[in-house]
Amino acid sequence: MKGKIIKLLILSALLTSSILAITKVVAYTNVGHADVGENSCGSSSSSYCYTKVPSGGSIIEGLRISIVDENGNRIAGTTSIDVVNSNKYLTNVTGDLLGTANLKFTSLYRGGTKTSDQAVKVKTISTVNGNLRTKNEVVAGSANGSLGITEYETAGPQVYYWRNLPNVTNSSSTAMRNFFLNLYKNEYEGTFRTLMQMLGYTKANGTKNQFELNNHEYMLIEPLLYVQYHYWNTRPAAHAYYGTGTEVYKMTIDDMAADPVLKPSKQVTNKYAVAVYVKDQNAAGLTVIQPGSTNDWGPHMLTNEGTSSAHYWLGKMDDCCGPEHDPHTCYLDDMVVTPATRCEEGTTGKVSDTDNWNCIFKQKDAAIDTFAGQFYKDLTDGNGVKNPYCTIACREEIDYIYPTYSAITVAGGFRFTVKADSTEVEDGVTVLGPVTVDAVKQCKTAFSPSETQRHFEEENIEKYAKIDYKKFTEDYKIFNNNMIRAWDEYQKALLASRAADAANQAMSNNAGGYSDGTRTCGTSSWVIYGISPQGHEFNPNITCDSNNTDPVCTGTAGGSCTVIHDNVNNWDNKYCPRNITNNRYPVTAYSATVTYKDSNGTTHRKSAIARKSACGEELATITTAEQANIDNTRSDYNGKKAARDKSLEQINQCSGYTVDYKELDPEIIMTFTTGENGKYNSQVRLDKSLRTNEIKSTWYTNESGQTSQTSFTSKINSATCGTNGVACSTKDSSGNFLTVPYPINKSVEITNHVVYDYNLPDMYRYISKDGISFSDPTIEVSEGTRTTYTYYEGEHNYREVTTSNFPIEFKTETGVYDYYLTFGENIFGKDNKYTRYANWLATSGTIDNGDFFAGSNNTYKCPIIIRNCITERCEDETDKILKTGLYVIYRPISLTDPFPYIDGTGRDPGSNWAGRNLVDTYIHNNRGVKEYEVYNLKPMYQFVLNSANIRAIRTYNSSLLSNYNDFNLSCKNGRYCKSQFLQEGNNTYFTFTDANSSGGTCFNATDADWESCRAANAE
Amino acid sequence: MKESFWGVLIFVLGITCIYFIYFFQDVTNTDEHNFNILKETTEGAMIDAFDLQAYRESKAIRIEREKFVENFLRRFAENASLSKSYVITIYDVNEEPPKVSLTVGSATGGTEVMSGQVVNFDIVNRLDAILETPY
Repeated sequence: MKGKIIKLLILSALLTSSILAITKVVAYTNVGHADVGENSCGSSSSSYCYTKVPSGGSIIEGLRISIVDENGNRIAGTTSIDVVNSNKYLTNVTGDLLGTANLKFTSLYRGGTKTSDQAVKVKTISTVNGNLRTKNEVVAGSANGSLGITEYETAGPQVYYWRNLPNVTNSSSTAMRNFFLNLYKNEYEGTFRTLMQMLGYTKANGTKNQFELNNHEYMLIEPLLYVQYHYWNTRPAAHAYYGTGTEVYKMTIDDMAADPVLKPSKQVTNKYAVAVYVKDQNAAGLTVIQPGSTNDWGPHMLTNEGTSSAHYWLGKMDDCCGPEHDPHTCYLDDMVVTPATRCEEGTTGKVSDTDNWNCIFKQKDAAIDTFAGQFYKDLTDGNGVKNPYCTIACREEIDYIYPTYSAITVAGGFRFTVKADSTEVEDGVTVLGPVTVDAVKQCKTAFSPSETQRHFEEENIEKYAKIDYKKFTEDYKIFNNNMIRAWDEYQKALLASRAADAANQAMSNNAGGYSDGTRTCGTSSWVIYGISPQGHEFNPNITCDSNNTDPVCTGTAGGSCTVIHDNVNNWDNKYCPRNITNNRYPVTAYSATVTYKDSNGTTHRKSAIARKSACGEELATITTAEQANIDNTRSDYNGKKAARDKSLEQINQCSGYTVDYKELDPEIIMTFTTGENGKYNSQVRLDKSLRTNEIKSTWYTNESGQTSQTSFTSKINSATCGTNGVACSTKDSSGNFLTVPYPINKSVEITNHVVYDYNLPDMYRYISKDGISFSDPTIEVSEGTRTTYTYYEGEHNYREVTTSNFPIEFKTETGVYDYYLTFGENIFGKDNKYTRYANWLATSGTIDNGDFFAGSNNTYKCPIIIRNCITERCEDETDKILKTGLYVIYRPISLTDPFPYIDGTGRDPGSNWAGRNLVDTYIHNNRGVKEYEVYNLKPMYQFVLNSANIRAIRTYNSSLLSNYNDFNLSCKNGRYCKSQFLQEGNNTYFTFTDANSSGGTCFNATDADWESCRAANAE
Repeated sequence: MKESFWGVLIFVLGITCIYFIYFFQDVTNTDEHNFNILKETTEGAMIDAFDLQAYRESKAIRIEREKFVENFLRRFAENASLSKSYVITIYDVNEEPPKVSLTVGSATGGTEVMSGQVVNFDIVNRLDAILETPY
C-alpha cells in the first residue's frame, strides 16, 4: 500500500512538473490538439515517448459534433458523430461528403513481438446504446464511474469521412469557426442540413429563418485525438487511446493509476488537453478559461471549463463576426418580427414575443417600459393576478397567413371576394384568401414576489417560477390562529353585553314578580344589595322590611355588610343594607352571570344586574368603555378573518386565474385598384370573424402538466367562528379537524388561442341594370359618366347578391394588378403592452419604430390577374385588342344548322351555348316548335312603323342624344324588365297591327307570364 | 294618225317600261336595304341589350328582352325610309343564351290603305341571330 502511494506521488510530481513547463494556454485559439506528430525517443532517451499517428503516416484530424443546450446537456433526440477529413486512416469508406467509414489502426504489440498476450488494443470510451458521449456526459460518467471501455485492434469505430473539413491541428484561430459559419451561410439546405439531420436535429428541416429562432442551442465540437505511448527504451507500444481530448485524458489518468509504467510526458499532457474556443461568454455548458490562468490544466479537464471543446450558437449562426449573445441576458431581438411583404417570397408573417421564459421571469419587477416589464400582466383588465403567492406573466405570438402567390384570375367586369375558404360562394365568385390571423397568448405563473431576489441570479429561472403554496400554508396557519385569538378577545369583551342581556332576560322571565303590590309609592324602606366579586351590585331577590329576620336583613340601612359564599359560582357575595330614597318602593333586582370558555380552555365570567321598580324602569346597561372594547375586538376579529380568507382566495387565484385575449383586435386594410380612373379603387378595412377561441389550462404539480386541477389539492386545518359565547370550532361533531382545500400546483399555464378570419365588409352587394355595383341601394349611383337608376315605379332594378365583393370594371384591361394587405400597429391588440413598449423604444430613440410596424414591413403585396373577356379576346393575351366593345360574337344563324363548319358536320358551339341542350331547346325547338315553324306562331311583339312613328322615334332619340342605353326599365329585383319606351309608345312611336292588336303575346307580359308568353300556344 | 298612235303606244310602253324598271328597282333596293337594316340593327340592339348586371352577378351571357325590342325599334327608325311603312314582327327573343328571330316587312310605297294599316307587303326580310362567346 505504501508503495502504491509513493508511486502515485511520483506520478503526480511528474505530471505537475510537466504541466508547469508547458506553454501557456491560448484561450482564444482554434479548437484542436495543438501539436502535430510525435515525440520520438531513442533507445538512450529517458523520455516517455508518444505518437499521434496511428497509421498511414497521418495524424487524425477530426471532430466530434453534438447538439447541446446552454448547460451543455444534449438536446433530446440528437446524437453525436465523429467526422474526420482524411481517408488515409479509414476503411470501408462510402463517400467523401459525410460518408460512413471505419478508423483503421495498426496492430500494436507490447515488446514488439506478435504474441497474443502482448497485443495492445486501442481504447475508447464505450458508447451508450450506440451513442457517442458529449463532454458533459464524459464528465458525469467520470464522476459516477459509469464509463466503460471498448477496445479496438485494427478496424476502429465508425466515423464519417468529410473531405472538406479543415485540419483541426494547428489551423488558424478562425479556420474552424469560419468553416461552420460559411457552411451555414452558403450550404444551409445542402451539407449543413445533412449534417444537422445526421445529428438528429430536426429544426434544420425548416427554413433558415425558422432555424434562426433556435435560441440557446449550440453545436458543440470536440477535437478527436489518437495517442499511442511507448516505453522509452525499446519503443514497444504500451497504451493507445482514441476519443475526444476529454475522453483520452480520462482514460490516460485511469491507466496512470493502474499502470506505474505509464509515464506520460509533459508534451503529451498539455498539448492535447487544453485547446479551446470559448470566446467570452459562458455557454453550452462551458466556462471561459483565461489565457495563462494556470499551468496545470489537468484538474480542469474533467470539469465544465472550456477545455478541448468549443461551441457555435445555432441561434446566430449567421452572426459570424459579432459577439455571441449571452444566453443569460435578454435582448430585444429575442422578439421575432418576420413580416410577410411579398407573396412570391412567403405568405406567412410572424410577430412574437420572446419564448425564453427565463428572460420573461428574470426581471419580474421591471418597469413596463423595459424588456421584461412588458410581459407581466397588469391588473387593469380584471384578469391580472399579483399576490404574495404568484404573479402572472404573458407573452403573445401572432402569425398571419395571407393568400398564396398563385394569383387569382378574375374576369373583367366580374367580381371577387375575400374569404378564408371558398365554400358557399355564390355563382362562382372568385375567392381571394385566406387572410387569417392566428394568435396565441400564453400566460404562466411567475414566481412569487418573495422569491424574486432569491432566484434572480439563477440560471434557469423558469425552473423556479412557481406558485408559492408553501408560503400559503405558513400564512394560512398564522392567519387562522390570529383569527381564533381575535375571536376570543371579542367574546371576552362581549361578556359584558351578554351578562346584561341575561340579567334583563331573567327579569323579563319574572315579569310581574318584582312588585309586591302591597306597598304604595312614597313609603320609605330599604333593600339589601349584593356585590359580586367583580364589583357589580345585584339584588339577591330578597326584600327586607324592618321586621325581617333573615340573616341578611338583620342589619340596618347603612349598616355593615354580610358576606355569604355563593356555592354555585364559588365566590363570595357581599350583602349590604342600603337606604331606599326618593320615595321608591323596594325593588326586586335580578342578576345574571355568563361565562366564556376560550380556545385555550380558560373560562371567563361576567355578571350583571337588572333592576326594575314599580315606579320606574332601569334596565341593565354596559359602560361606554365596555362597548368600545366590544367594537374594537369585533373589528379586529373581522380583519383577521378577512386576512385568512384572502390568503385562501389568493392561492386559488394563482391556480384559477383566467386569461382572455379580448385586447386582440388586429386590423387589416386591403387596398386594391385597377387603375387611376377606376371607380372601384378602394381601401377597405376587412371584417374579421372569430373562427377559434380556445382556452387551455395546464396545471403542473410536477414536470408533466395536467389538464385538470381538481385532483391536485391538499387540505389545511381551519376554524369556524360565529356563535357568540362559543370558541371557534376546529373540529366537527365527529371530532375530526375542520379543513379547507387548496391547490398545490407548482405552476399554472393558460393559453388562449384565437384565430380570426378576414372577409370583405358589407360592400358592393347591389348591381344595377347597367352593371354598376354599389353598396347602398337607396341612393342613385354612377360609374364614370353613367348614372344608373336603382328604382323605377316602386320596383328596384338592381340585383342583390349575397357575397360582398370587389367589382372589376368592364373596361379594365387584361393585366396584373397588385393588391395590398396592411396591418396596423395594433396587430398585437389594442393597447397591448408590446406596442406600448415598442413605441416607448421608438420615442426614446432606442430603436426605429419602423423596425416593427412602419415602412413596408406591415404591408403585403400580391398580384391579381384580370382577364377581360368582355372587351378583349381573353384567350390570347399576346393579341388581346382584337375588338372593342362586348367580346361576344353576333352571328346571324340558320335555325337548322346554327354552328356550321367547313366539313359540313357542324362545330361545337361557343361556351355560352354549350351543354344543357341549349341549342336544341332554344334554336332547333325555339318556342317549342321546330326551327322555322316559329314564324308561324303568334309573334311575341309586333309593331307598325309609319313615317309619323319614325319621325317621333327620331325625335325621341335626339332628345337622348342618340344614347340607346338609357335603361329606362321597370324591373322586379333586376328581372322581368319592362321598357318604359314600349309601354308608353303605342300610337306615338308605333302602332299595333290588327292581327296583334295587343302588341304581341309578350307585350303585356308580367313576371308571372314572362316565360309562358313565349309558349307556342300563347295568345 | 297611225303613226301618231304608234308614237303614243311607244311612249306609253316607254312609260310602262320605266315604271316597271323603277318598280323592280325599288323592290330590289328595298329588299336589300331592309335586310341590311335588319341585320345591322339586330346586332346593335343585341349588343346594347347585353345584361351587364347578369354578367357581373354570375358571368352569364344574357340580353334584356324588352331592352332589345326597344333598342331595335329606336335604331331601326333612325335608318328607315320615311316613304315606307314597316311592320316589325319579333317571333322569338331568348334572353339566355341570347337568340332572336324576327322579320321586317315593308310596302313598296303608296299601298297604304285605311286606318294606317298596310295590307299588302311585297318585301319581308327574316333574320335569326345569336350572341356567342368565342369557341
